[in-house]
Amino acid sequence: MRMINLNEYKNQLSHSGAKTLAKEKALADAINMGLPHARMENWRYTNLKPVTEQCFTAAANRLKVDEKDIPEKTTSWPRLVFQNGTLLEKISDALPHGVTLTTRQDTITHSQDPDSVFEYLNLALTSGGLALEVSAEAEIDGVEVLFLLDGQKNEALHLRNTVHMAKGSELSILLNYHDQLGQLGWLNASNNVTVEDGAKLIHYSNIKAPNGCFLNIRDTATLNGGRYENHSLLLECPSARHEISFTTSEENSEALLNGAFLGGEGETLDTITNAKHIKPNCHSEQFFKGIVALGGKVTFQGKVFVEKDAQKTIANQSCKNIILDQGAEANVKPELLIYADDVKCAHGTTVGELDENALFYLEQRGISPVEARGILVNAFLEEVVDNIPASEIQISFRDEITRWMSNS
Amino acid sequence: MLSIKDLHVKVGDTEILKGLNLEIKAGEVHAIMGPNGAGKSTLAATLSGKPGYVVTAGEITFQGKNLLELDPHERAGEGIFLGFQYPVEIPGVSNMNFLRTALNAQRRYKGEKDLDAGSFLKLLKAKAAELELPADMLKRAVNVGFSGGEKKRNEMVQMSVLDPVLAILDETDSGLDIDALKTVSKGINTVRSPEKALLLITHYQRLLDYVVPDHVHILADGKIVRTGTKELALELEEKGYAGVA
Repeated sequence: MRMINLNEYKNQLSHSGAKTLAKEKALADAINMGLPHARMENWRYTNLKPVTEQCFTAAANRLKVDEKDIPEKTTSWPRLVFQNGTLLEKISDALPHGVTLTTRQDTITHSQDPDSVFEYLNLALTSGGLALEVSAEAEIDGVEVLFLLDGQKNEALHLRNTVHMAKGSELSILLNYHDQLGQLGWLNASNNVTVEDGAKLIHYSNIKAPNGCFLNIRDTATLNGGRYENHSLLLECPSARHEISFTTSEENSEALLNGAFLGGEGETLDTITNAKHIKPNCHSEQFFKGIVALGGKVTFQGKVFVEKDAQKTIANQSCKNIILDQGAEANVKPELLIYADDVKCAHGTTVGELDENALFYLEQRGISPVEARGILVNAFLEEVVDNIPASEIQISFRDEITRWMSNS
Repeated sequence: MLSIKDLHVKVGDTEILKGLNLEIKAGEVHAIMGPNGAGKSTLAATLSGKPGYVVTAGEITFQGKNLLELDPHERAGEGIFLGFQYPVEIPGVSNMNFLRTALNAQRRYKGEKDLDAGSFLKLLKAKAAELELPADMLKRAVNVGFSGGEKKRNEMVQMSVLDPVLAILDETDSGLDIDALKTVSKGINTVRSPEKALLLITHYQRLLDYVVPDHVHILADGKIVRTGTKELALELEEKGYAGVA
């Protein structure tokens, strides 16, 4: 087992033609941090081999993308289509008034977890991504973004996306990652959003990689008094790590993290959350449900940190999981560090099985065991789907879950 | 229609049914009464195929087929319905969707086409009204927040919609007040027909005032020890199990 040396990425940066001081520093920081390993609590359950045993070269845009080859839209919102980090203008829709593509400021803000060496690698090696600015008071229905991942097994895409929600603005954004165009080895994606006072961003993610791409996706939000909702569905990935963090940098910030992760045979899915309450009078909710079938492994590590001065914080966390078969594994670890004394923080995690009595009840009425299982799983996950404001995405998530159940 | 011969059933390490014999013909209503622990619910569970009930000897034939070879959902497709003693609550699954899925699953088993949504809804509303179950309860999750009586009435709505050939009602009358009992009995009586059969498991005689049985059996210590007419139930009420079995 050979662990790579992060110095091997130095050449890649030098030859990228995009070397800047900030990127050099980021790579130097990454090298100092070193690769994560399973003895680190945050990385205990993740399958790290794919990214620590080989050095990936930068993904190149090779394939000629035709509109007919790409999946249909999920919503009626305008859609931007990217091939790796490059916007394909010809097959993208025009953005609505109030939303503009902008130049991204590639910096690491204080809200990002310094534990994540992949975040620093992302900053050092990024080849592009989405940068959106939503104007003050603009109320936009939604924008859909499709990232077509193009590459080979030894290539990585460091995708860096940013969204800035100016004061009082509103936007829903759906990010779809599609790895079936090629055989990209590793997606290291960083989504950084800032939500100013009175603004609201609803961030949807449909995360799957049927072609086997190893996924590290970090959603990080800086809340300056605004509201951030993150709704995610994670399934059909051989190995995926979804990290969702936010920091309440100003009072009256709100966050809702809502998601479902479905692990099938041989799959490892990690969901890591980090709720940082550093200002008073903020409210966050974390609500996750997991399903794991034969041979799959799902992990939830949910952190809530409430600083001493963050009085009147309300921070709740819930993660419930169902194991469908023997040999499937669910690991759930809530972690609360609360230093303020006038707060309301509740947390609950469960791991269980489907109710046998309910299964028999359905079967006695004529429903086959397979269909009965599907009904109960759908019912279990319905609470997550119900939390989703956009009905088109509700329907899409429900369909994905039903399809997953019929294949599992 | 149903023929049970020398049935022995084990639950865990304990033998509960010890050579039970029972014959039910189409058009008949049978009542089974007996002390607690006698095996009444075990019989119902075994007939419906509940996991955990192991048949160690004997045979069960239903309309000429070996029932023990069929899975629970197949037995339902063949026309067997179990009215549960303790109907389970299923959050997140609406009564309406559940029943429609069940009905269509049974129809497909019989080679029939699914019933369209409109016709199903009409059927369901009519049956619910007959059993005095408010229509808005149909949109709610199965049995969630239902009182005991409402759960039993919900069982009857399901029975009414699924239209089974053999309905096994396991203490359907327990926990019901007089009015609910009358409503439930009305529901049971509407499915009586020369082609169908009913097996009522009950502790109390009063259900049998409303749903008059053709045969009453006393199940004690894992076997049917006595069979009679509806008068036997009255005798039981007077003398208790010890005086009659």
